[in-house]
Amino acid sequence: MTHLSAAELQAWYREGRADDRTAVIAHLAQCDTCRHALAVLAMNEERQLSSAPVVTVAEARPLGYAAGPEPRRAGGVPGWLHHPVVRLAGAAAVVMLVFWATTPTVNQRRAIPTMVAGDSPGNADEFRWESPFVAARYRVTLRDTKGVLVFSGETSAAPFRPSAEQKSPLSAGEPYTWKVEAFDASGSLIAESAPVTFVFRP
Amino acid sequence: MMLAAEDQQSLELALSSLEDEDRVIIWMRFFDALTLPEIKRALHLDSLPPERLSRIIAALKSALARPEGRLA
Repeated sequence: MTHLSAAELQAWYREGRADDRTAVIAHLAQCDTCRHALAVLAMNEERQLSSAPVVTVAEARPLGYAAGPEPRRAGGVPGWLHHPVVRLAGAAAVVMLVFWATTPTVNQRRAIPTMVAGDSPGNADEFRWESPFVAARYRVTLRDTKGVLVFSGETSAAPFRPSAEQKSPLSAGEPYTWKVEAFDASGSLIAESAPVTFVFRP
Repeated sequence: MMLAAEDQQSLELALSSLEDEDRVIIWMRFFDALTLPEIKRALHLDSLPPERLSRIIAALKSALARPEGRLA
């Protein structure tokens, strides 16, 4: 069986061309390796999106992005725009616009609560957390220092105990970071813990 | 998840009776632990409601219950 290359999987994940659909789905249906690689890509992509740095316009301009038109020179501005009343009204409009844009909506105010992830004893036998609400299921993910997913697993309640197979890639003395996410019955993320780092000591 | 070899073969036989896309959805949901929104995005599906997953599971159960879906 010819596997899909990393570039092909990336291309599928990003573009999902309709022409490729039948062949890709047929391959994924029979190839555990490629399907799992796509699954890991999807999970890592979600992580990168959630931690993507915010780039300001000022930072983006030197990179060629957000390159708007050159500002008009002062000489080209109509004289009435320099009137104090017009300038005051303009400033008030800007303040109101900023206030409106930065005030959270009702949905945004429903901030995701932070769950408390317990300290791992280091042997990675058991992962514990405290959750202030009931979730349909919890997903524990463990990554290495480069952010690469080592394993993930699900449980309906704390604690999560990984299998020996899941723990097999762990190296003694190496640091790892884990976190737990809570999902509702429809699969939507409703809460996420802060990441916890520990050194694996089997 | 560990299954007895016989159960594993029965499950694989039942899974093989599903459409390719449905089979991938089951694998991604229950073996790769992806959420439905993640699967929808990974497979570029227009929608993936929980009802569709329920239908696939029902089909899988039905296949497992059929005599040909069970190993002798």
